[in-house]
Amino acid sequence: MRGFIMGIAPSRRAALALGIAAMAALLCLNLGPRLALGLTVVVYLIIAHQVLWGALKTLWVRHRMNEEFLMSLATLGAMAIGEYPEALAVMVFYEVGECFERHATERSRDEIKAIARLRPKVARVVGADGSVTEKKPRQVRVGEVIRVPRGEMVPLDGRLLRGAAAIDKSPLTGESEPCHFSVGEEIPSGCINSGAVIDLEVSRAYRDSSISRLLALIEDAAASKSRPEALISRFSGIYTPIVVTGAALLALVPLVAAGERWEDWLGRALIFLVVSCPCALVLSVPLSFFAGLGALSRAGIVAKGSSYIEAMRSMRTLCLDKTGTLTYGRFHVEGTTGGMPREGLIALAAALESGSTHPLARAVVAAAAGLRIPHCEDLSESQGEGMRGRVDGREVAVGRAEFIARLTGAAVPDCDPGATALHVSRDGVYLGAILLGDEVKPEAAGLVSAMRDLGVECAMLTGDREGVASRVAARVGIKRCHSGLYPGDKLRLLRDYRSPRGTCGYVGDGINDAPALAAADLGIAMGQFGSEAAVEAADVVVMDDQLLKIPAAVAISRRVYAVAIENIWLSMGIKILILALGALGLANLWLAIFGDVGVCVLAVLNAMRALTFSRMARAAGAAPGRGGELSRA
Amino acid sequence: MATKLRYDIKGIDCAACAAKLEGLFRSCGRYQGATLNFTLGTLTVEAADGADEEQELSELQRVADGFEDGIEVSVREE
Repeated sequence: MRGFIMGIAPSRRAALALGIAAMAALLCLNLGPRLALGLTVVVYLIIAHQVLWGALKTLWVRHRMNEEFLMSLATLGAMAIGEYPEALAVMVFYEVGECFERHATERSRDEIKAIARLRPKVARVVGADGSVTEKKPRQVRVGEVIRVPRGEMVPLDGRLLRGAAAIDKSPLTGESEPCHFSVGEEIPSGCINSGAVIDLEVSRAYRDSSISRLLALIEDAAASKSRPEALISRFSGIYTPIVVTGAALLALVPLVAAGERWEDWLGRALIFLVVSCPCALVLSVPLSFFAGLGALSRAGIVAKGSSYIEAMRSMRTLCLDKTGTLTYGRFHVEGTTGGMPREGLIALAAALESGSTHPLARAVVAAAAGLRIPHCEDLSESQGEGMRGRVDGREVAVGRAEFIARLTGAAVPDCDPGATALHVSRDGVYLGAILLGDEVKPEAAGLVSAMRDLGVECAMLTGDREGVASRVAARVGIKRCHSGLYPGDKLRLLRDYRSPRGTCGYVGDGINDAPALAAADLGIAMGQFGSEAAVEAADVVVMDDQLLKIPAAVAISRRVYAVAIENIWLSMGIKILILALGALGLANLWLAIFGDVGVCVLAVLNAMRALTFSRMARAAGAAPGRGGELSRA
Repeated sequence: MATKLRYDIKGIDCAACAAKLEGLFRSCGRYQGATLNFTLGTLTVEAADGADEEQELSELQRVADGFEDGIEVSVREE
């Protein structure tokens, strides 16, 4: 409140105080008609000359009636029928309301830009001779070396050149636990260096850096509007003309109805003019969603638009990818089958898999460390099936059993059903399989039970075979488990799960998830280790891979949506009530002022409440598996 | 393929005016899309490929001036 008052320019503050004093004098003292008119006109001109001037200019130059014009008309009309204190009040509170709106939007802007406030301003570039020059981040080219002192923000994405680094990723993920990076790893921009001085080799231009992309995501969020927002913007387009027409008609009533006093009907018309601005709605409903987006992003969840808050709120089914989502996706090679020596088979597979980002591929490549990996040509990937290429002039393929069976023309031999097998063939001859295992994330079971408490049923969709899939599903408590799926099957299932009662979400992170993420009502990508294609295709990105952020996001979205709906009812209800009372002659201008400014202030304050909802995510993070708390929160 | 150009925009009175102004940017025929984020004070337009930031800026400023006084569009300070 104090910040709000101090935010108004001193001269405006003095004028508004004068207006309120004059209003009080007119109400309390018996000044006599002449003195009252004189006082009102002088004070009115002091407060309102800017508004009057703006109204006239817009009318004259642009042939358009703006809000200032309607307010001027209403106040001049009030003076004409002798309602002097009301005339001053309309003007004073109109201005107070404007200042409040500005204050509220600025405050939420600051909150949302908590990340942007930390927007990197300077990059310290280390020259070839060891000298350090300061540049703007966008002037730094890829390949240059930058130095980041302790406590400063990493201005650009870069690979760590020496030693190790302790990095605070909280500006990006909301998680303050420092992360450790070692030589060669890429540190995303926007993080804070909480350890010793580090040198980075810039790997991406500022425009494409993680902090710029994140800011762009949040900004573009406004473009995909939720249904209530779209409704409001359509409604506000017709609201003002209808109410102003209503005012004109009311003012004309004495012309057709004999015996009616024109002052009485003019008074009713003025009430319409004062409540004619739909600002309470137009500002508070998007602001509710916007504050909600801010609350989510502070919790480390980026929603790409308020329509996804709406989709999260009505989610009934959550489909989860297994690999990398419910499990760590950090496979390790457990063994091999077939006649070939273990090293030879792994090296051959790694030759193909080094071109893929699939978690299985990474494990094979990791297992091949230290081995001589042959060169591979004509590499191609069949999404969700496997890789093919030519090694030493021979056609090699690595992938799922069905894929390899098609190439060899015979079913592949059985392997341990609990492990994941990558089969290898050469020139259409089966060579053997590489067996891999994966570990289930400890919070996965907590996610499933928290979602159930929220009334959302989880289902697992995976390309894996039934043996592996059902073992993981049983461990995390998922009843509906679909295994052996190709990307196309996932899309079909997502369509089947969509119901008129609610939306269907999909959580994934692998490259073969991108189509499913895009096709689901609500695609949720796990950001930190997820592939770029997945983050691009998703609607919601969980920045730090915390599964429990998903039930938190659903709970926050429900609260935010409720606030937005409250605001619609609050502002519309009061305005329509005042219009009805006004038309019947039961309302006065004081009530109308409340209907304009008062409702706007109330709705905006209500909307700002959504900013505090990020606390709900922190509660969820602190107490894994206690999702039940959320549904009651 | 359109390019997204980002600008800062200042001096808009209220949310309802912002919505109207956004409509003007959309219907001026130059852009495939325009998004005015009143709360953030940002304007994003989808211009034809290869459009020049500065040149579009003057066009956008012209549209804004035609709507109301005191609105200022500026190139994003990075």
